[in-house]
Amino acid sequence: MKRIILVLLVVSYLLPVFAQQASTVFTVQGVIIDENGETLPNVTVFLKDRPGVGSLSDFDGKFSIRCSRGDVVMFSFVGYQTIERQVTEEERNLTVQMLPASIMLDEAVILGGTGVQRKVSVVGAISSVEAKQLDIPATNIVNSLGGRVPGIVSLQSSGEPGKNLSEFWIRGIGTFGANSSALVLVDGLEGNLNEIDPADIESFSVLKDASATAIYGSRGANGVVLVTTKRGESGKLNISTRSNFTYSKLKRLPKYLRAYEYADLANEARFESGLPPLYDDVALESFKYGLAPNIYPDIDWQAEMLKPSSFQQTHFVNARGGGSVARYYLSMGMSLEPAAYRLERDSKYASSVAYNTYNYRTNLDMNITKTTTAYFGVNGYISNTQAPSMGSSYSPGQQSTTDWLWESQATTTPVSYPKTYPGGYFSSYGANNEMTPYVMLNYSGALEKNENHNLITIAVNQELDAITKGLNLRIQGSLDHTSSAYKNRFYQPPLYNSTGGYRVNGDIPLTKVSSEREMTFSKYVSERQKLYFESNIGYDRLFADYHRVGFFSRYYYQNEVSNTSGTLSNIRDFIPRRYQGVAGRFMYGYDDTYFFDFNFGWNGSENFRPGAQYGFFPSIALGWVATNYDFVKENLRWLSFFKIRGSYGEVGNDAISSQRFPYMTTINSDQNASTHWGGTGILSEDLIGADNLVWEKAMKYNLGVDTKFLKDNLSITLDFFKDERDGIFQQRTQVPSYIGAVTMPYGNVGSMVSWGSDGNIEYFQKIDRDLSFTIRANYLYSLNKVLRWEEPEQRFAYKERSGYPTDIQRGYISLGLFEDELDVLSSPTQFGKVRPGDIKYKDINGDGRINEDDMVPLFASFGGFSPPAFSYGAGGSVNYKKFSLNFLFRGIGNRYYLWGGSDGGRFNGYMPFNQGDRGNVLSIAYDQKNRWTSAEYSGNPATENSNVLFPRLSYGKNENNTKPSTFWMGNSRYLKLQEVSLNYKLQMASLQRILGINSVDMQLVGDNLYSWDSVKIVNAEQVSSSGQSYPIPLRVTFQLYINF
Amino acid sequence: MKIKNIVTFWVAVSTLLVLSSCDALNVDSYFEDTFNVDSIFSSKYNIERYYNGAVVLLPDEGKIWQNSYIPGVTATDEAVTCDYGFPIFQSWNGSQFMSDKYTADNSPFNGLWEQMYKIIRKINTMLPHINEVPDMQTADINDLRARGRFVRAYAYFHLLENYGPCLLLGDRILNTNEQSDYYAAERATYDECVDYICTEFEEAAKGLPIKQPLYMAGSPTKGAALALVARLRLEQASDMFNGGASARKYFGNWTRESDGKNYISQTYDEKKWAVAAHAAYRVIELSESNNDLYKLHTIAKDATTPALPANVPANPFPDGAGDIDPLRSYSNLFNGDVEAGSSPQTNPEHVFARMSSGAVNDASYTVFPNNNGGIGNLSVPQKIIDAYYMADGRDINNSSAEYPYVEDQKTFTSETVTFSGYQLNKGVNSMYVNREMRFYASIYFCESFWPMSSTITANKKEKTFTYYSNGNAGMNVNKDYYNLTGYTIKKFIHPQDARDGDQSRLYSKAFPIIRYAEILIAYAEALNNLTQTHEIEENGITYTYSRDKDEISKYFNMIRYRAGLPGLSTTDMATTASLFDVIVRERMIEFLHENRRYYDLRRWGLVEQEESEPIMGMDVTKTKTNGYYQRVPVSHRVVRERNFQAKMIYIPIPLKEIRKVKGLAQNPGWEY
Repeated sequence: MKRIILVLLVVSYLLPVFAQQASTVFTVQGVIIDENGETLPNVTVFLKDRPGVGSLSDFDGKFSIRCSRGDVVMFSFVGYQTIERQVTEEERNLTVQMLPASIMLDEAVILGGTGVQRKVSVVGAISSVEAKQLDIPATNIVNSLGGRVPGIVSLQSSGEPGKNLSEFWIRGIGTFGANSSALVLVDGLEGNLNEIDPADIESFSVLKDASATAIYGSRGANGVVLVTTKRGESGKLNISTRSNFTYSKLKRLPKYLRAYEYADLANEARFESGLPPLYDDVALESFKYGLAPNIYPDIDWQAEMLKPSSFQQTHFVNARGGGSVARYYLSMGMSLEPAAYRLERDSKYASSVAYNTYNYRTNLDMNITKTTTAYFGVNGYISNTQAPSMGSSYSPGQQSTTDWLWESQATTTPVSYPKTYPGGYFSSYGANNEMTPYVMLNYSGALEKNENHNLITIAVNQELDAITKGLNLRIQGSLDHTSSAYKNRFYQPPLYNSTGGYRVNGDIPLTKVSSEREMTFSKYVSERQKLYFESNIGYDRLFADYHRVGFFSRYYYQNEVSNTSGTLSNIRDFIPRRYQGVAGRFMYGYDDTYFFDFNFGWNGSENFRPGAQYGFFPSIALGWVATNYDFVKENLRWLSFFKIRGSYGEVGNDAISSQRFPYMTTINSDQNASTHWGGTGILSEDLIGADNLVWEKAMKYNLGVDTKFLKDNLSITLDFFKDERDGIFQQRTQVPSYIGAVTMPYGNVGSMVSWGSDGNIEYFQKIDRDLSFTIRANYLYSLNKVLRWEEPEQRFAYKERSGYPTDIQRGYISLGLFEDELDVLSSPTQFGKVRPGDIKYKDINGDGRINEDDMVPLFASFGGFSPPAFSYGAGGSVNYKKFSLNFLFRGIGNRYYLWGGSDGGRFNGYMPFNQGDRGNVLSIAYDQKNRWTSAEYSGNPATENSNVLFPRLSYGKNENNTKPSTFWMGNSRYLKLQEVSLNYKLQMASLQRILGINSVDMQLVGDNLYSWDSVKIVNAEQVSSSGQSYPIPLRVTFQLYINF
Repeated sequence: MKIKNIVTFWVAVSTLLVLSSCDALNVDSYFEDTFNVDSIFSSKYNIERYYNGAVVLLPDEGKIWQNSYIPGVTATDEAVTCDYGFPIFQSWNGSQFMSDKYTADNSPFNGLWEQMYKIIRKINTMLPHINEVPDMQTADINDLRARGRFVRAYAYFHLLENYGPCLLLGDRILNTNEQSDYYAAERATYDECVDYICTEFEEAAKGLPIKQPLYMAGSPTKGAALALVARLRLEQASDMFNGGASARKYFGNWTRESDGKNYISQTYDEKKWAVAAHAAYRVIELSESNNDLYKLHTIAKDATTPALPANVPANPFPDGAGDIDPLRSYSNLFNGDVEAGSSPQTNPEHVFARMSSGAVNDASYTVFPNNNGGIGNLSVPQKIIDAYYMADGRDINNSSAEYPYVEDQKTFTSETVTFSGYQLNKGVNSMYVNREMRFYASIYFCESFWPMSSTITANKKEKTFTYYSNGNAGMNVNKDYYNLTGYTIKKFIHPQDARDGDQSRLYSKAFPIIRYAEILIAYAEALNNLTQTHEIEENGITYTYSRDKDEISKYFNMIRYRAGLPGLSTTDMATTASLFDVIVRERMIEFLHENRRYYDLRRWGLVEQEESEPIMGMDVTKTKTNGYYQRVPVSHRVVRERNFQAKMIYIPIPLKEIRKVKGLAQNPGWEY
């Protein structure tokens, strides 16, 4: 053990090397060139199994090393394949050509735990992405996955720093049960993509079918994302830095009416509702000409709250190197991302609204013996969020405070109140004397949130060729610690309102409507610790040149403890969450032509009663490479590679909402309670257990082809998949009350099916030595249908959830607007007092009245909380000499939403005057051709136009028009020019000589540049929030890489 | 370190880890000292607590006013109210029920169904294990089993009374996680339910004690079980459930799908009255053979007791009212007044009662006027006022010269008089003079004196409230909620009770579930319906029942004498029908706001007729001199919207339950 520690402490290539026996020693000299024949400096040249002996090639690619007969000389360089060459005699002019490692990467696929597998033998559905493709200045990796990675669909709902993190799914949603998100493994451990700097990524792959995810057991049921980070490599210290500066500009903010138009339209709405006008001519004129702004204000609250643009920056540095005994990779990064809120300079809390993150990573690899390597990794992530407090206490899980700002800007009308009254008195808004957005942002206190995440990993890898060739053992353990703290100071200044008119001396009479709320402090702390352990045995060997046999087996165990103030109320919360299981894979390949894989997972979960905790989930996969036959090679020369692969497998899922141990009936004991019959103490079941629970099962089918044409220049991969979920956990709803159960137990009652296809195509063409280009495109099409969703029996089949996609939006079918009173009278009764110009609904069940029974399924994926059925991306790059130009288009297919049609503030603006004097009105409503107005008001029968966006205006809630219906339906499909980047690589000998800089890359990146869609009012990706969230900005970044 | 050593080390470490964590998913150790299902039956202490867990699920029977668990008083002609509530003004549950505002999906009474079946499951879980509890003696076992069966039967009793025929489970415990076919079930018929529940009560009665010790006051006794049987058997013999005209009208076509049986019997069987008589008599027998275990509550007369009218026998109670103070005898039964060493609940008239201060005193919020700690909107209709007899037992329309009834707007008392601790103010309208004592004990009218003597704040006590539009409790004080009729319920208010002012307090009160008076009157009602002599044998003794006038008046008159009224007259007794009318009226007066009228009107089949009469009251929109004292229909929206419909005989079974249970029939008229 002492030796191991010693090795850990000493960076090995500094160890002195002593001369070997002189008799056999000679020198080998030569030059190293790259794939283009140019000389390659800084290549590590060393002797295999002789740690510490080695040198580097010079700027002209020349090297020299002393060795003895039979030694193996290794040539190693970052990004290139390592070359081994055995030497027997002295050589003076050895030429060594090194080929880029990307060719090798193309051949290999990272499989978790099993290490690298040759791509040709992969029979599961796996997409890999070049790490370089992800290294763009997006706010985080997840935001850049959509459109880039086949099989992944992502959604971004906010552009605000700290909240601009996309959600993503692999192949859409396969279950309506508790957990539909994918498993993310970073270096084999559960991790968070948001916390990784793209520059740290070595490889990125997505495992989609059962044969690929089987070894992850239940955690992998919804697909697995595998990320490996960069490791140190033998060679000279290599440092690279990256800095970027981003200008971001808010795009597509909803445009609201200003004072005069607002007041004018309010009068119309009042008239249509049979109410007297709200604004007389004096008021209207004052609004129009900006007279008496303190009494007739005209405030653009959006402009008061927002700056049009903001600047962000990130900086990143890594160092990589090592000798043959130990190798290291170190990186550090920071990102400063302020939001575009307009803060008042004199505010006491003027800390900007911002999201700042810091991360670091250390990967150390050591050769302990010839066959033993050890890995030690530490990485961490710190984030800091600052926001105004909005005068309210805050705890996680609550709606985020900045959402209130957005709600407030959609709610506060331009005519409501001036920003401040003369003398600096703050105005207040609404009947409950709320703060205006301006006060909220600047004078309401401050909220600060800190998150801290640290992970320590130790792994040991032992080659066991001594026992049998090709066998190895790997043990890995990690400790993961996350803590977060919220600190909140909240405050509200005194608020005033005018009582109307001016005093003789010109002052405005004010009343204090809300007293100062004194500064209050609150905090919230949460902490999580996770211990993970796994041991793996792997075996891979080629027999008799044809038979490739491999197996792999893993045992894993996870223990997670959560210590969060306030939530540990119940014994269930005290018990650590645990998983354990065994997984295995057996692989057989014949002549790289036929492949057979068998995988299994034997997973244990605490959610089932002892005895039923373990589930066995097998999967098989078959592959056939047609291009390996000679007659194919000869006759179909244009076809360079063709593989068909198919897989079937079962995956278990044990996630049952937040309820743990649902098999257990638990008893609540109260020793002090008494009954009205004189009894003392009460025992009662607080949860009824369901003792026949079993694993939720996914049966996954996949059929895929991998092809390459035209000397590998064109490659196409296509996959078709189907997932059948059975036994989805649901809290029972069809169990009647008369059985007397205290709570409804959970049962394996739901089932669902999802199916679809994904694929990608890539074409690479090299025109000459200076010019080459690549184009690539990918798509994902995924549909789902609930087969059984337990619910109390519905009277009409179309009211059931079974038979429809999950997350179905229901509503009424609009037949247009009522034309006249006769139309109203001769139609079925609707909601409240209906008038001409109101929405007319279809009586589905023909009972002469419109009620809930007439609501039918309208479309899937309401509200943007579930992914679209069809998503695609297309991009490419052109390389000319040292320039390269990259671009990416991204889009989704039909995806519907409602832009009105429900109660509440969410639709402020979309349903004018729905809340009376609360709520802004979209400027498009002022355009007469967009709304219905009675001839009685306009004096023009033409304004009774049914083909409009807005039905009859009403002041206050219109019970009829606020129902969800096809009238309010919109389509948010879009095609975006997501990204264009221009890169120039500067490589100059003088830089190298003077500053030690090998190369400088300069990049100009534009992100979210243009969108083709029909939503217009807001960003098509953000329709669910109806303009009440921070828009996704347009970003232009200058990025500078320096490699030393 | 050699490779071999390292390998050995790793294998050892990983094997160790695997072995040690084999049991990683077993969380039993965490639950070691917490409770699990098996430990319920491990000791007497625990099983008792489990039983308590069922008991606490019983509704508070006193919760019959605002937010009632069943429709309650406002679903009858006993009370109406204005809307009240925060943040949304809302009518009381009973009013909304009578205005057809509820559906089977959104009824506030849906919780009762679920709650009662939870009790039933708990008892069914407990009963088979009673014998296994190590530290229970035979006596303990019998006692707990009896209490368990009582609770279960009582849960069914609540179901039957409110939802009608229910699903009978017997001793079955159904699995919790089956498919819907497993849960298919049909309701039992009304008679099957009554028979089952009565049998269970009778079985429970065998093991229950005659009396509970004070610390277990309210816990069921033998008498409580038998009294509930008496109530059920009387109901079963009544028109609605015994093939009467109303049974045919409301339930004639309501049959069970599987066997075509009528859920509610369509054939008259006089024997049911005899069974009802016997059931009531058993309680009387139990009382009489146990040294007058139960008796009507009386308080001895004193100097302030007013002179008895000449037609009331002056014999000592129960043969007359010569030695008692009728007003205090009746009023102290309800207002929480306690004699030394007892509690309101242990009053010997209470066969079964619940300390229900919360519900009863909360409701007093709607009795006390605005500015005196309440909102004063609980209004008693004129019909109730008119039902009270004159002091000598005559009707208001047939009053005597000695106790005359004068109804005009000009006649008022000229001086304040005090009797039996009650103060009848100067200036009270003549309508409220010379009435029977139960009227003064039960009703606050305009110009009533409210002692509120617990408070020491001068202007919050000893007040006279008036309901004129400009009165100190009139609608001008608060235009949103005020008294609609000019009357409110005094029955549960103690003279000391106050809701406002320093040191104001409210007496703790019991809510009577079954009073002995109800047994007596039930006995009379059952006998009245017999046309021939019936023999019923129980425990080897043969009991005979017939329309024995002496027997009827012996027990019925006790109620009258306690109120200081004369007994039944020969005209009253003349026919079954004439006596029935007297009984209907007597129950209306005697059990005012005791949650009896809602059920009585239904079983008699009188609900539609009674509910169709307009709700009348004094004209609270007028001042004293300008027309207050005239009967007008109450025109408040809540009252206007009342609209009795046939389906309101029963509350609906929760719609969700109907949709979940194949074969479960909904009550007629409700959504299914």
